[in-house]
Amino acid sequence: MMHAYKDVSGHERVDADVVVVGTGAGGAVAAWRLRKAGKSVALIEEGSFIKPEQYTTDSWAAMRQLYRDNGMRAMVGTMIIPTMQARVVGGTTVVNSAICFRLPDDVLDGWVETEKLRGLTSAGLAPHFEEIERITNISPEPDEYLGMNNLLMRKACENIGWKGEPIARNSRGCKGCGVCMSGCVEGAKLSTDRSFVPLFLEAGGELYTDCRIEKIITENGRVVGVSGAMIEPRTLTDSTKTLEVRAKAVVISCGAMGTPVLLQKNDLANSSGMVGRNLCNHTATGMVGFFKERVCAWEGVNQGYCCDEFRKDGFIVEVAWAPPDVIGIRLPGFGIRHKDMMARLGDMALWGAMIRAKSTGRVMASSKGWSPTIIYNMNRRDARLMQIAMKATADLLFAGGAEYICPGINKVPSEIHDRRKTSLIMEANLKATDFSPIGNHPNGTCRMSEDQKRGVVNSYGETHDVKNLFIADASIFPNSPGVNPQVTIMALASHIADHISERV
Amino acid sequence: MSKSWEASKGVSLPDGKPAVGPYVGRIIEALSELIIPDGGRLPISVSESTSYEFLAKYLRDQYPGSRLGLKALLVVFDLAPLLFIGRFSRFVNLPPQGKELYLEDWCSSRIYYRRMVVVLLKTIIGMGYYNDPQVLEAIGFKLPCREGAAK
Repeated sequence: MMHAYKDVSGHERVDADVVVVGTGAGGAVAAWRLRKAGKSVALIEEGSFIKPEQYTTDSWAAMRQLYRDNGMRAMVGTMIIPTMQARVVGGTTVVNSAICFRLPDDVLDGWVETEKLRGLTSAGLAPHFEEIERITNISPEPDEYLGMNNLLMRKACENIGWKGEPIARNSRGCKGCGVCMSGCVEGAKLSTDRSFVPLFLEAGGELYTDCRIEKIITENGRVVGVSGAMIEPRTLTDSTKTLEVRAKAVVISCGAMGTPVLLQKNDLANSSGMVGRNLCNHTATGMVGFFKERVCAWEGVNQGYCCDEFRKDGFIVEVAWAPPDVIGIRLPGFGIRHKDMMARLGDMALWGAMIRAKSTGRVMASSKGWSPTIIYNMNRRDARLMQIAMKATADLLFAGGAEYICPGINKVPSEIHDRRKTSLIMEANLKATDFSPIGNHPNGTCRMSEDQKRGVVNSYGETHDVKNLFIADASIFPNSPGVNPQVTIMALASHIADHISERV
Repeated sequence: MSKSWEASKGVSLPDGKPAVGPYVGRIIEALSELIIPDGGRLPISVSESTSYEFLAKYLRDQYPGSRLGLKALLVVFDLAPLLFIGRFSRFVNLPPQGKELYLEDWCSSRIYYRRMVVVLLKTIIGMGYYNDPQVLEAIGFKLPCREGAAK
């Protein structure tokens, strides 16, 4: 049963076997899996439940409706790197492009070896991946909905001889609107609000929306519950209504930004000093190519094809798209030249490179409010890798038949018309600040490690310091997986939930 | 002033004051007409679009600190031609070529944060313009999904 703001009055107290905080990729799967195992589960979400018909494709309205900090969150250091997190039932799965990859075996092996993890193997995780893939219908989209933006990358990969593949996506009945990032207006994307949360509710789970958990309650070194304030959903202001859930186990799934803030504010689970540290991400940036043929990149799946020739070198190139106003920011210059480029929006393809960055940053709770301060600096190694990735993206665009490209890199010509001139990208003496990246898929801020000095949680997601306090989200990744992470988060959450089921 | 600029005056802050006063409004207008001038392949001018109204609403919707910071940034931008291009003039009073030279100086600056100011200005001015239904129609942009979701 779902309980929204209006359904809670005064101070409400609930008892459950397990309380899960957050309904994104980690929380929704963990809650459903626990409920399926017969546990009484309370699932709590700060955002509201929003139906597909309530989504808007107006960028600013969507950012205000769905994103934390109105979509203006950024990692700050020598440069400003925007990073996004949603505040809605379904979490960031509502606003992603539905890209689904399994965790690559080599990445898992690296995590296990470095962090001495136990009980995590490819074979052990396989049933979790299979179940998630079945429930969310993870599969590539048919050609008819791919659209030219994706088909051109396929052609480019064939022409240049690089490995490419259609991206598997969690959707059913996708018509390729290309506006995934403001919520799927067709309801085709099987984000957790349209998959695991309904399954959880059908199985008899209790969902509380519009509630921000602020306190983790502990007694004698053991977690016993959580409490928080109900938020008026229209004004997003705190109310006097409160919710307290007492439980045998608590699962925190507030994402790599939210989970460390909640732990820091409660001064919990941080004997390692690692809560909020080790912030990793997939740093990504896009490149526009102009084609003689009509592309109409808004017609078709947003991100339906990728070139994974270089995954083991640390980056992948994926098709991307964004609303016209966002594309306008990427194009060089201003004035008539810029406006005339925008008039050719239908001739543009936008492809982006995403690197497995090794720079790390830090998430810190602010003294006021719940928005974190995020410190991050992109190191030289990552800047160099970004340079290589952008050169590959440029070559790929020309291999697909681009007339010219706009690299969008400082110190590199704003337009390159000759495919032989993509070498200019490699020849430029570039620093991190010469790129305009975004920080995708933040992770690592409550690292999973059997070494208590390095990690916040053990191999089963339980904090080293507080018994029965678990974390199930991207914050437990030891480092970035190198591929879009939502399915990995889900599989690890499912694995953690099974362990909790045996314990409580 | 255009009709849409007048419309922006109707956008008030919670305390009843206009989201954009005349001083900041003049800077926004000058910047908008420089970044998205009349002419070229898109026949709609910035003043015919919903750009100004969007900007006023954007400022209204910001947290008070962010709104103040953004307005302060616009004022600094307006007052800094002397510092960066040696012209003893406010940005809004520069001749058209001077305005272009000044913005280009920000675009090509060696200082990262100056280049980011231009990105921010392009963002807040472009968001209103490139979301305007007339502009989208002129571009040929039409979403294939559920009717009514586009706005």
